Amino acid sequence: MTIPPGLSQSQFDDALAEFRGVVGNDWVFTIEEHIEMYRDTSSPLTALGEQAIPSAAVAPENVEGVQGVLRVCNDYRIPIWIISTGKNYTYGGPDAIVNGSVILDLKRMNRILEINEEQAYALVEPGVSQYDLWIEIQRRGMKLWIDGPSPAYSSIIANTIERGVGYGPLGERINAQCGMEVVLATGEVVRTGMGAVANSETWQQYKYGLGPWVDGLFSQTSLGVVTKMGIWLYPEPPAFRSAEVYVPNHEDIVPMLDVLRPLRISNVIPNSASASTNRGGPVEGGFGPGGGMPPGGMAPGGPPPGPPGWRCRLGYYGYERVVDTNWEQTQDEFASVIDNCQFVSERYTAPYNPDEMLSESKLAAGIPSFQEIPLWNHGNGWAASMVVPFSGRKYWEFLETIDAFNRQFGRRYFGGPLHMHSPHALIALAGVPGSATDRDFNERSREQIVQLHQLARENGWGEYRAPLSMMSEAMAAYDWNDAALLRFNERIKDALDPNGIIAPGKNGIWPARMREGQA
Amino acid sequence: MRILSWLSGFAAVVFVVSAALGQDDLVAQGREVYMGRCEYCHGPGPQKGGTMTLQLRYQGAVPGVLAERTNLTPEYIRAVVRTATPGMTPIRITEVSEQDLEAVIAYLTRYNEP
Repeated sequence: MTIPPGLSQSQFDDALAEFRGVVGNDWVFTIEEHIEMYRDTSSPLTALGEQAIPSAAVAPENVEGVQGVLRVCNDYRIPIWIISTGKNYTYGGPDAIVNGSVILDLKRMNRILEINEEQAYALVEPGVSQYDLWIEIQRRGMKLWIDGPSPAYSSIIANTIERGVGYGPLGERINAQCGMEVVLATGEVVRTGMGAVANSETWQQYKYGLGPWVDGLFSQTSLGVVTKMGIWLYPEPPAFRSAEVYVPNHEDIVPMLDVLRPLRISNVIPNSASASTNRGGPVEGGFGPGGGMPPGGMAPGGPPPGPPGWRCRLGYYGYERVVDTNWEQTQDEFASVIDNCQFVSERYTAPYNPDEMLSESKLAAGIPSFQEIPLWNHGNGWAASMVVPFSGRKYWEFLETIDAFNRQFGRRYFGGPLHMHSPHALIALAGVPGSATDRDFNERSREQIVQLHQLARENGWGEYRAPLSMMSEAMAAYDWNDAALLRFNERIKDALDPNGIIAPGKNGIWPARMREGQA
Repeated sequence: MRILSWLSGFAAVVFVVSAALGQDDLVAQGREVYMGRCEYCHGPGPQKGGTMTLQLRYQGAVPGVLAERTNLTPEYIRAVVRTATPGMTPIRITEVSEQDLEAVIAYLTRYNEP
């Protein structure tokens, strides 16, 4: 049995007894079969023998339970790692960084506290998945759309505060967040924005309140446990058009991005547009060495068969004439600069029947689709999701730089997938494949991904979100003014979490007691 | 071995749940849990990832829709739900409780030959 660092077995036994006193015997998990369910099945660290093993998992049912668990962790200085549904695949799943951490499993906190059709928002707990909210909206017959990633079993709160991606008009998920309740590491409960006004009716309607806007501190956070969050919803539009544009040549990504940028920034294309090379992406392959192509179209040898061009997925929402006009304008813009574009589109009108929609269309309409689940080969590799200027020329430089780098390792990089959920920037995925069992393979891949981080840093590309085992390497790119931002984050960490119990090492931010020896 | 230890560990749960509910009630409860937690991927119709995968894997030798199968054993269902299998990650006790899993097992084995 793994135990938390610095504790004796008898101390840990005492702590477990206290956890059981807080959440009940049934909700403290310590036996191997249970612990196994809290391990990332696609971690590159498994084959390396470096995957952190939890000492226990604890699942409180309410805010008081969260406070109680944090009190025990403070008393015994036990590191805790927060999961909501534990589906953060590719970025670490349910895994902690520190061996022997206790997993704080929030799945039992699964209440939908409010859905407001008139004001188009919901207030949810962390255990509520995209699917849970969607099905409840259908059950109540409300004319509201959700938004979110594929597949829809991830937590609304966790995906949002990890600054994840949706594919509809609210695809920049963190922008749709409005108001939080947070249990701080020390156990105090804080509500942000208008939630701090005791009798306010606008907690989910106005984000900012008065004074510094602190919600950002609790995104990608190791400062507290978000126990409630407001999420804006989208009023069901009268019409919706799902569209794809195909360009035939590899080099066409340059004009493609330059066409997309002004349309995206000006909201002519209002959804979280995405693009990928036809040479592969995570849906076609995964991160495995033999299971097709890993994300970013990095074939292990030469170019794979198939058309070499690119496609992008777009969505338009609103009145029928508006969605038609904006789609026609988009086609004109593409056709005027790229030869032999192909356009595919389907228009739907309310009331919508999900059974008659293409899987791709459902994604852009926030309708849970589970078609893609078995195609998602999470593999055992490392992703690197870089923030790159939204410019054809700049992206081409990125692509060629990484391809040249990959060639040194006998691999290629053909680019993509690209996310345009944040309309002024590109999120460009690269990465390396990994193996579930081959230690040597993963050692070589790790060497490559570490060097890729150095290359990215030299070129000014930072990651928007980092896989668990590359968080410190990812944060190292944020080095302006002798890493002033990291030091600022460390000061906040030490002030709000003085015992350093919450998610030590998350995004390269370590508490004072563990900073010694960290790069 | 892991499956066996699961089974012995939870035999008592099965007994208590079955005795308290009656088999028909257990099947009905299992159907409800299944519809909420499994059907979106394993149900009939298009765009169901689990059903598509099983159709490909078994090429019609058994139904692709789980609820139509008659050869699923409790041990197998438990193992697939609780441990990692290709295309499906473990479903934890906080997602589907032991009691709900026993009910799902009762539902999915309701047509099995005795």
